[in-house]
Amino acid sequence: MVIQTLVLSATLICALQAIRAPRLLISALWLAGCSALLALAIALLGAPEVGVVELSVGAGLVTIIFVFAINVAGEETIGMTSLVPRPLAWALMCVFLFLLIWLTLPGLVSPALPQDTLPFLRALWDARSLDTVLQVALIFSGVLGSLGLLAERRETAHSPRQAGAEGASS
Amino acid sequence: MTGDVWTIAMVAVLGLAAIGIYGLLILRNLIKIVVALQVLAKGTILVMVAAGGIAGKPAIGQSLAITVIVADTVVTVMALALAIQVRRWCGTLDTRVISSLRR
Repeated sequence: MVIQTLVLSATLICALQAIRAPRLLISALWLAGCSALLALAIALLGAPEVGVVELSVGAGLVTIIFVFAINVAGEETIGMTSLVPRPLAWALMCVFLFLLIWLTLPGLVSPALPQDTLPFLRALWDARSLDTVLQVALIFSGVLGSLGLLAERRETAHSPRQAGAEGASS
Repeated sequence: MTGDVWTIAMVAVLGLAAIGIYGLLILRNLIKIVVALQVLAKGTILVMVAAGGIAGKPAIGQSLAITVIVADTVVTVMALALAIQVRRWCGTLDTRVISSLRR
């Protein structure tokens, strides 16, 4: 239990640093650390399959995508003065936490549900097979959408800029 | 698994949710906003695993956690692609500058 507490505390510290870090690349690296520690915590909580998926996808793939996006978009230092005033942000955060605790605590204190000993792989592939099919569709739509969004605008052969460049070179 | 471990996990979920919501409220850089969204999603993954353990149905909670991981990754990819396009067309990632509703 001490190990779980330490790992989850380190996860929270990494998450806080990811929000506070001024540079984007450092922020992405703190997020990767947060994700790796969360994967360790989930594995310690008795779900090693989810931990492995979180480690490979959350800490690996998402970090690579973040670094790629930061390279393409470029580093940009933006001041910390926010659109929402700080006291209002704190108040909204407290309201959110209060609602979260108030709405979920009754279900957590008295879980009057029968125990379920379904194995994880059977639950994933048999009981929730529709989820798995939808995940595959989601992945493909995400890949296609990102390809469409990342694509450069196609320059037409008779665009004015290109015609001017040709005229200047000749 | 003793109940104390799940209590610690739920406290960590509250912490992750608080950090994510606060980041979403105060940050102005579009890519940092996606980072805050990721922190919020990490809290969601942890709460799925913890809720499955508390309710005595760990397999359902874990399969839903995997669904959350996949959906969250796709959302991140799309959000980052949109941020790149915003940077390409508006020249900045600052939400204060790119908001055209103020003009």
